[in-house]
Amino acid sequence: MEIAKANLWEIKKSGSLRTLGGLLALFHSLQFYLWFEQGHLPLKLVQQDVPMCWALFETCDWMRIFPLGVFSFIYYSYAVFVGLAAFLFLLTSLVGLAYYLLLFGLLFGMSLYFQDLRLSSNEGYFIFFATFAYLFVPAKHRLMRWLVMSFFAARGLSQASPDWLTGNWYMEHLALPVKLAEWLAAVSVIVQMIGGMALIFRDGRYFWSGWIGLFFFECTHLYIGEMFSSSLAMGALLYVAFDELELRKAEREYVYQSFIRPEPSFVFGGILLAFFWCAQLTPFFGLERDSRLKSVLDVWALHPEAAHEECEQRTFARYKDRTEEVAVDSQMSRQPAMLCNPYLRFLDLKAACKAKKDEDPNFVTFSSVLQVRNYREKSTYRAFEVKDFCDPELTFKKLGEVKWTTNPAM
Amino acid sequence: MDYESRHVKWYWLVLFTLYSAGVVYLLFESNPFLYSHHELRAALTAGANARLQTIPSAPAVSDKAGNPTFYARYGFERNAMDSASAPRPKDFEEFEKHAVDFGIPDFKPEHIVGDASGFYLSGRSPWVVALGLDGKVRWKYKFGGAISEKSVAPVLIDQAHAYVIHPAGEVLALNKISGEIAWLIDTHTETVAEPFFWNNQLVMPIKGQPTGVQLVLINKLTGQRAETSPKLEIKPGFQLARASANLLVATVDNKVVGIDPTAWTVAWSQTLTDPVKGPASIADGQVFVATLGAKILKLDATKKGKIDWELDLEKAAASPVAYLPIMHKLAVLDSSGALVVLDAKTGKSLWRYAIENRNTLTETWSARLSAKHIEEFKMDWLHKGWVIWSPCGERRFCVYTPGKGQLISRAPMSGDILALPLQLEKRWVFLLRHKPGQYLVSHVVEANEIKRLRIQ
Repeated sequence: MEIAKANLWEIKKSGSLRTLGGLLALFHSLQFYLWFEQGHLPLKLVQQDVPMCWALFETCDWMRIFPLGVFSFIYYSYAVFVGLAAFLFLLTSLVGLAYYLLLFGLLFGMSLYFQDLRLSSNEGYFIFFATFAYLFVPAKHRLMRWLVMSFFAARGLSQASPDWLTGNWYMEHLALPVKLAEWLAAVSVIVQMIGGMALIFRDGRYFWSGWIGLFFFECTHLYIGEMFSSSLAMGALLYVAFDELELRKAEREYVYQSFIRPEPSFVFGGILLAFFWCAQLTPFFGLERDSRLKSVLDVWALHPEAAHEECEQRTFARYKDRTEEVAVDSQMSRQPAMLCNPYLRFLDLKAACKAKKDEDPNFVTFSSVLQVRNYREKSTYRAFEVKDFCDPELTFKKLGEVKWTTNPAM
Repeated sequence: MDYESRHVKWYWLVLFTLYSAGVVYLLFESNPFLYSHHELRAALTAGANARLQTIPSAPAVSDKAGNPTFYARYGFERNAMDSASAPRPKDFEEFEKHAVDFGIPDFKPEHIVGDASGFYLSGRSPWVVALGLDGKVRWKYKFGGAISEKSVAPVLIDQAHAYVIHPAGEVLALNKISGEIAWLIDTHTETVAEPFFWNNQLVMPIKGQPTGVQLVLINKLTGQRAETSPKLEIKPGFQLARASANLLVATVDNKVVGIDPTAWTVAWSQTLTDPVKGPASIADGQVFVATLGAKILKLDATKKGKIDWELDLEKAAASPVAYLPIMHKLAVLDSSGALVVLDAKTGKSLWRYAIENRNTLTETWSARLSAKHIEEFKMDWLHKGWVIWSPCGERRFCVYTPGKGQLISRAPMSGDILALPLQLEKRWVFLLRHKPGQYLVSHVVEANEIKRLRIQ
């Protein structure tokens, strides 16, 4: 309770932090809207047989102990709580109530978000991570500004790879010559990494140069159609601008500031930031591919925004009287970084097995082969090669990831 | 903190500058082509070879794929000579016919191949159908890729597999009996001519860069691609016939091209005045071609395709010529449905007989007649009973003497004849179109055999 009180005191005394609370609650509402748009995505995933677990958990069936009705309640409560919190933060002075509404909204949102890895996204990561820091970690002014800077810089860092720098992403969204797309991709890295870093400076020349650069960058992305991530980034920039103006005003009026409570320590904020950056810098640490530490840190790293792999999957639907080469549709839209994920492909096929069996009594099984190539590699590797995918005994672990599994009985 | 002061200290500026330099370094390390004309995307593309992997990686290899069991026009020489050694009687009758239900809406077989195991049908549809001789569908395979302008290639068959080939370059070897996939390889490049067998390899002619044709050689048993894929300077769309173990003859547009298959190089090339109709028909090293300009030509393969003779027909040939051995005659149906016979040595027209062929099939073939009919129809014993077999009239096939075009036999059929029949012992098996969209497998059996079967 003391923690909540201390955090509330900090928020109450700052207009920009109250605005940030409202913005974060709005971000959650936006997240809910996106899930809603995708056919109530968390509820849809709960109803599927096999969940996709986060690397944090060995198994995640225990997260589904509640019946669908309870999940539905949590899902809609999430929307109501964050909606109310946004209203109270932005339009009333009931900051305490808004704080607790946002806190419960966060709990509801996290219980949905962590039940299936397929719900994870960079935007979701930013929203939940920033809300957690906002609600629980002291020294919010400095921490939130560092967090905003860190997310921009980390996104730039994740884009400083050949996958993004090919400019493919821009060419997919705009009709551009290749070289121009390459340059746009490069500019995007520079603006986010250098512009993001400039946001922590109080010298107006650096701060506003970085801010304006990022603002125009996000405007461009908004125009291209990146509604969600650009809206979040614009919101974050809005907060940083308010914060900067508020700090300048506070400097002018420093004699009136309250000395009842001392300035909170930045230690916890520093630990949080160090953890965030450890996760973002994982690729540079050269950790073993299968190490536990890497798996844990990977969970907290941003997903690359451009596809870093190309893959080719061939799937054959075998019926009693015929064979058809088919495309197995993914169950839902997927981020570029997850397009070639063997586990997701495995889940897609397993779901398709069930659907086909219900649809056609002559259906026997799927045979499928997935070949993946990282853009930096010269040849593909076979992620799986399975003749009888609908065999109920076949689990993802049995695929052996990169080993062949061929059922000679077929 | 110092950096938070309104005036940034010099060491923070140095740090910021170093950081910015690090960002630029990282950028250029990840994309070294940013300033050059090269494209990063092209540098990252591994090329087609990266994807040319056989599926599955270790196919269950059958002991042997064996010899090809079908060639268009009864042999790679494309001369339409019945390869069955036994002579046949003259009387045939449609003994049994089986209605076919493909179970595929609007499936129209365009390429019909077959052997004793049945028919293998493909066309302008993603489906390939294996049909038993009893008219039942044994298996079907559907390609995933859309079929646009080009049709699925004629199925290649040997003793173990049926090789189905998508025009976009995907090849599958399917178990001939069960239809199970033995292996798959995708060249990811459009095929530009009909694939063919050569020395236990399946040869896929694909688009060459920038011109010509690249030949992808695939091991029939394992589906593994040979490391080298020779390039052939020839126009796409060629059709092949074999002249000898060291020479293939390709026809494309108005060219007849000799190809050395040991090195896959062009040995000679002959340009004609008119486009060539179908593949060359080859017998005893002599190359016969029919042109759209109503000509039949004989070329000497041993003299770089030198033209020995050419003959003008009244009407253009509807198909390549059929060869009648020993007597050295050629038979061909022209576009008006008349049967024309000419002397293969001199290039003179011997006779023309309006048989009014109205079947879809416009090809004749030659086969031997049994000895008792040689005397009956006053044919020369020396010629061993080779006669002309041809679709004739409407829904019929007929047998004619090569000397005077005398009608020996006429067999009515239950439908339009679509392709040359399968030659089986004591019977011919036809695929017929009974009505639009309705197909039949028809067994035309020797009269004596019918008697025996009825007694049984």
